[in-house]
Amino acid sequence: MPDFNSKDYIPAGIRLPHGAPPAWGRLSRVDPSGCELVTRFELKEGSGAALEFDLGDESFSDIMSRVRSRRRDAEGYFTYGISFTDEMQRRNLALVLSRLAAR
Amino acid sequence: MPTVQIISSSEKDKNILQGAFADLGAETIFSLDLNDALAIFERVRPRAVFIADGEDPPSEIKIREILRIAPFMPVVVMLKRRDAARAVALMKLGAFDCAQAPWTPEELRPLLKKALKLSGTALAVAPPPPDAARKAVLAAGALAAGLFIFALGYGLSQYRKAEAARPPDEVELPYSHPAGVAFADGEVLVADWYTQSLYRHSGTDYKINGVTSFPDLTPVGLGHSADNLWLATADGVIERRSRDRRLTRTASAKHGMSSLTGVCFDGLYVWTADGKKGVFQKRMNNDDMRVLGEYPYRGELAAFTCDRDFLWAADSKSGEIIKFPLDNPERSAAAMPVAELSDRTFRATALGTDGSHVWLTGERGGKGLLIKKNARF
Repeated sequence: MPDFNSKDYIPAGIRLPHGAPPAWGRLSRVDPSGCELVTRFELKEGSGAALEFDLGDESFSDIMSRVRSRRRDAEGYFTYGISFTDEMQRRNLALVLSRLAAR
Repeated sequence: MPTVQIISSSEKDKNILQGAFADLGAETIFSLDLNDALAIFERVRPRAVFIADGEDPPSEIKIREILRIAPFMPVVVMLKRRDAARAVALMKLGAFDCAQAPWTPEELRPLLKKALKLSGTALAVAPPPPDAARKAVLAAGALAAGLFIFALGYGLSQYRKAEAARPPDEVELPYSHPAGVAFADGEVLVADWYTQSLYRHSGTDYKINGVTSFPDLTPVGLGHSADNLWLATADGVIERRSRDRRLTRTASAKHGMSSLTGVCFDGLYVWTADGKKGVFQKRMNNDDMRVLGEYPYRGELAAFTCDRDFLWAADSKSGEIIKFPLDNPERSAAAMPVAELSDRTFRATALGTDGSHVWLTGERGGKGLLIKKNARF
């Protein structure tokens, strides 16, 4: 159960390794340790990606991430469980999420 | 069979998309442009709207206008190439999702299926299974509910805006380079030089009622009467166009000014102004718009217009809107300080008057603005 909700599902850019063209999707959940990403683009379990998204007035880019789980729904969209791998970025996210929760 | 509306002016794209959507079992209704789409939208009641990106007006405007009349409508933008930054930007504006080229049935299938699934509450006669599949079902339900709540909230906010009794005195335009403002039949007309288009805004809530594109000219000034529009273009021509549906050109004349600052019609004569030279010109309303008289202007003329009583000048040096009697354009009748004209971040580009208000357009920080001021001073 989330502590609070943003007004909609947050759009996110997905930068992929090995020069693959960037993809996009929406975040259905975010916490300081990771997020749930809904997208039509296929990512491999265990692969890395850099995410870009806005939280409130703050923009985050190059959030280093790893795909931990995935499932595909009946329409062909993937829902990925993503963990954030950079400790400094996790701390920044925790700060911004706390500020948003306090509003 | 669900019906989807597709906005695309390209015949080639139309053929591709018709085949692709037929493969997906969807009926397609094509619209050549936004006007066409809005005109048939109410009758067709599509389940989703797909927009071909890269056409005029921009997808940003199409998304906004479609969501304005149908806040719950899934709008999918079909990008000409895979551009994640643009996709994210469009999704922030309300697009449901974006497709990438090539627009094949495989690419469009998940978008179509997801978009169609959003349009109703999932009903079931039995509870969901108590296993991992249940979690997936709950997650999908939460996603749909979240999107529904977002759409509902957006719809309510739009409804409240529409219900506001008085339109705002300042509005941010969905384009950035307004060059002329005029009025017709309760609508505010704004010419934008960059998109080479004339936008018809509702006089009550400023929503776009229609767009006319001029691919062969760049508008730099706009005037109006009950029957005609006067359109000044960047190549030194003033065109008179009748206010029919096609804005048919009825006269065209070279104006011979180095820096035309405005064009207008006072009910009898056409007036032009040259900001660089500092002069108002009175012209015959005939096919060659012959100059009848010239009157000096001693300020820094940023924008100019006229009505049946006065010439109106926006002066960027004094920060005022000044009015001059038609029969004595060298002597000002009154002036009103306007904060925006003194604001160095704002660049005034055009003036217009509807009789009771004088309207200023311009640019600030890359945004087009339309500002209304009381004309009774």
